Amino acid sequence: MMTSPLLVVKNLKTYFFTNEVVVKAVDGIDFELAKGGALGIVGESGSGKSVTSLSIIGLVHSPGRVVDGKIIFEGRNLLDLSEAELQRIRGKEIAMVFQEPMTSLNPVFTIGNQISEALIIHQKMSKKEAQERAVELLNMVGIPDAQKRVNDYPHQLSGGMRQRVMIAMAVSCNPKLLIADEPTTALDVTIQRQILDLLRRISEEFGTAIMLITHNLGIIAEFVNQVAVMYLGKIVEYTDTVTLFANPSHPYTIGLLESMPRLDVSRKRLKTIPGTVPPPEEVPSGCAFHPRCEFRKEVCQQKTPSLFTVGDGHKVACWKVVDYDE
Amino acid sequence: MMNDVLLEVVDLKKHFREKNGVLKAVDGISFHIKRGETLGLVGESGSGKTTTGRLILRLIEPTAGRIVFEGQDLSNLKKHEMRLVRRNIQMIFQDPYASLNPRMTVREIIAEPLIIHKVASGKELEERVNNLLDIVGLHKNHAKRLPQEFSGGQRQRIGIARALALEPKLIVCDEPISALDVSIQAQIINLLQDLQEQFNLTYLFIAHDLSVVKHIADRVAVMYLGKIVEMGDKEQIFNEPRHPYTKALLASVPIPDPSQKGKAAVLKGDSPSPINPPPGCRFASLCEKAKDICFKEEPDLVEVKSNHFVGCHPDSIAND
Repeated sequence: MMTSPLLVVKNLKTYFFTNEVVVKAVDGIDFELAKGGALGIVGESGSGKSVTSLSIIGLVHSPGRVVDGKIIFEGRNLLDLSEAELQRIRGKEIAMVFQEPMTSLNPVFTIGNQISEALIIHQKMSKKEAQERAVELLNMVGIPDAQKRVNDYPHQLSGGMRQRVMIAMAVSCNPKLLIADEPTTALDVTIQRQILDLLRRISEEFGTAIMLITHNLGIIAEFVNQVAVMYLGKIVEYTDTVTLFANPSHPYTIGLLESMPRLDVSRKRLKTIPGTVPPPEEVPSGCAFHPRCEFRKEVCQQKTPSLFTVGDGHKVACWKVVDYDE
Repeated sequence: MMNDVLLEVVDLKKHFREKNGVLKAVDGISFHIKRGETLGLVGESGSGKTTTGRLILRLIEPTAGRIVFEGQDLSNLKKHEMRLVRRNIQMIFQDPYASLNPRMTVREIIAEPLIIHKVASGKELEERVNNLLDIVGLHKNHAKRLPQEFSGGQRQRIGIARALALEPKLIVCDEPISALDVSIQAQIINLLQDLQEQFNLTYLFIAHDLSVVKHIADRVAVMYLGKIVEMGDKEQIFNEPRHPYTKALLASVPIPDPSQKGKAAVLKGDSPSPINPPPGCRFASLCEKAKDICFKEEPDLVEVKSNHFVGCHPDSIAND
């Protein structure tokens, strides 16, 4: 039996309208996330991975705007909802953890107050109940001495502890979807490991689906079962994690995997992807990756490839995979 | 042969007085780097790795210890004497956005050290700058532009050209690629390796990314809260790590191979504060192997194999 997915994103386009130029930060992407599943979105700066998550949670601000597409969460298109309806979903059904725990927490409120806020709003708890629940949540995310720490201010905590607080806030209303945008990028590697473990535990215990946004392919390999690789606003490869690493097919994915120094593989010299990610207002014609691609053909400069299916659930946006010639 | 050693650091310390105690950022570390070699200095935040790099250039003054470069003790040099030495020791910084003056053109940035040290002027200066741009993979037309017109990777190339201008012998690379996009990191790593070969450069490569250090370093020193806890050849550190912290660090790195999924966290909790660190081994409170002695006495770095040093009581007891 196929169950309907928790989240379906269809042809999502989020553009930013600045003086004279339109930056197509997200330019027609499609993906799905199953209930309790784990989807990774990989990309570099300018790929649109963060704008994708902000679009889902309805936090794209002017001059940005979702201009097209559908974001269907549990059968409802979030883009059709009013701000009030959206607020009932945001923080309750869909929660988010950001990269920088220091800037995402309010410095003038105790962490207990900040965790309580969502509980009071969404769960209609009293102040006292919410505070007690906050202690439970801090315990759950592994903050030692939670009874006391609940009265701490963010600056009194280490980076890893702050990220635990962010996660406690995010899961306080038991969301069905947790979006984590580079949740460990600002953290040390031993702390990163602890935070990833915590997210995994939450996902398993509460059946929370996780959408993980990262530039780190190691984290993708260990953490998610479905991956979308983004480049300049488009998904260029979409598949399950095992296939992505065993049989990467987009030249950009291949390039990323081959250019990485690795602990488990010794390489004499690193392969490189030539050139650099162009600024978003100068997206190349055709396939946006073509100026950096060693396989480019004539067609790549002229026509944008759509996502072609190359295997079971494996999609690649590249003319190479369809033997296009003219 | 002794003059194989380009830089020797002996019992180096840097303590900062804070309002609630003494921050022992670097607390008695010793190591050397041979000519043409790359020593990787790894550690997490608070380990003192960046402070160590700054001490070697004497951008900050050490509290104690010696820094010996080509046989000369730098710690007692006067300002103008140090300035001469700095021709031979240069630095590449982490943030290519913050380390280049936004009001200077690329030409001015790269020419500045040549002018200050009166190495070249006029037409020769012009040629040197163009040549340096060429060496780091930029075009001479780039010279007229401002840093803001460049991507992160290109900016780091400008920083590298500036560091190379005086033909230094040692370059302290402080997290030179961690601010760059993944697809750009490999370009800069390859460039650094090419330059090392071309100019017989010696690197102190400071980084938190173990995969990068494994790729680029010949030897590795692992720092934890101001101390070197393990040091050895790259193979020793990555294939036969002995210190529990080194092991934890290596086990924490996510491996881009889905078949190796599901490793559990190795360290439970945060490191102690480097301000008034606990007595004994600084890692003891997080260490699974910790014994009584670890909480009382600081372990010395012991040579457990040729060139492989470990500072761990349980390790020395087990191998007595």
